[in-house]
Amino acid sequence: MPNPLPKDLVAASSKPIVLAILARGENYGYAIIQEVRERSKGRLEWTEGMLYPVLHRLEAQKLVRARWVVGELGRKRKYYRLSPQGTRALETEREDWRVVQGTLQALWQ
Amino acid sequence: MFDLEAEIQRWKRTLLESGSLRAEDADELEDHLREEHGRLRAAESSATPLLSDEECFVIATHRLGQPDRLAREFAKAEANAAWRRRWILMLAGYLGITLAFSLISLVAHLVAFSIAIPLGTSYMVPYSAVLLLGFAIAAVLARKWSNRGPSWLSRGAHVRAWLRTPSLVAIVLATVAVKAAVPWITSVLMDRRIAYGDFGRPNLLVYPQVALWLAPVILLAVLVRNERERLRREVDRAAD
Repeated sequence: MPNPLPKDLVAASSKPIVLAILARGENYGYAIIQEVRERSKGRLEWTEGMLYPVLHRLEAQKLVRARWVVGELGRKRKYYRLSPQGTRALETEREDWRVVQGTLQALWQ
Repeated sequence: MFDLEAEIQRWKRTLLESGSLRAEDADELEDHLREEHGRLRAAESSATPLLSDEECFVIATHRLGQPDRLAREFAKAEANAAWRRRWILMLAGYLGITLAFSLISLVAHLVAFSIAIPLGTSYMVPYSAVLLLGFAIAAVLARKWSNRGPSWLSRGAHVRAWLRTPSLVAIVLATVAVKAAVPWITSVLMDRRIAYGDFGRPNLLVYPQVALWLAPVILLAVLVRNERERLRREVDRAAD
């Protein structure tokens, strides 16, 4: 199995990744982490509990909206979805990351 | 015998005791923990499972992160919320002390009044005795509640609703009213029955006193606001 990415990179990419996952539809913490693990083929290793402060920060910045849903077994689950501001923020993030990616690619050619 | 429900409740209590998580944050993490535990159990549900229920729980909590590390991350991410809680606690503490002292003093006056007048004895002796007894009881209760406050205060969601701004304003007003009422009541008692020279003329200058009582609240609010701003800037810098 390849090495996990350095912590700084994981932290810096958490916001665009969460926004991008929520852009695909409403979701909750556990499933978001599963999705990250799958999409990164296990190389983006999040300490699972650390996702929640990120989600709450995005909620405080009004980039995502949250609601509690009570499941069949009476279990409460908090679902998150993108707000219109969140969609715009994701657009900005995409531009920013393209600049980084483009610069590195140009230098590595 | 491993009791999953009891372990989850204990784990949640540890998280909440850190003071940087709200009850609903702990609920959210609990949902995560249960799902992780459920998946591990399902993967181990063969005829000869490698892991016990308890081991699945330990792995699930480990993946979620150590409680103290989690608490630190939550405190960092929600510096504002943490400060709001602290400042509400400080304000509640100040109001509680003010209210308690006013009530003790009022009771002491009433007791002294009902002893000194019929018996014709000194006012100061019963007054001081009741005052000291009241402070002693208050000190014992304060010691008992110093960690988490009385159990009725930390129970359930209605307490959080209690600590919202309108109720806080109402509590401040009630405190001011009680503080203002104490000298008024004592002055009425004394004007009627006791010569001023016996105890000293009660102070009727209520308004400057109200300002004095409110001064620490205002000072505290300013300090907390400054500190919060500083913290927010720090968090923003750290996030950038």
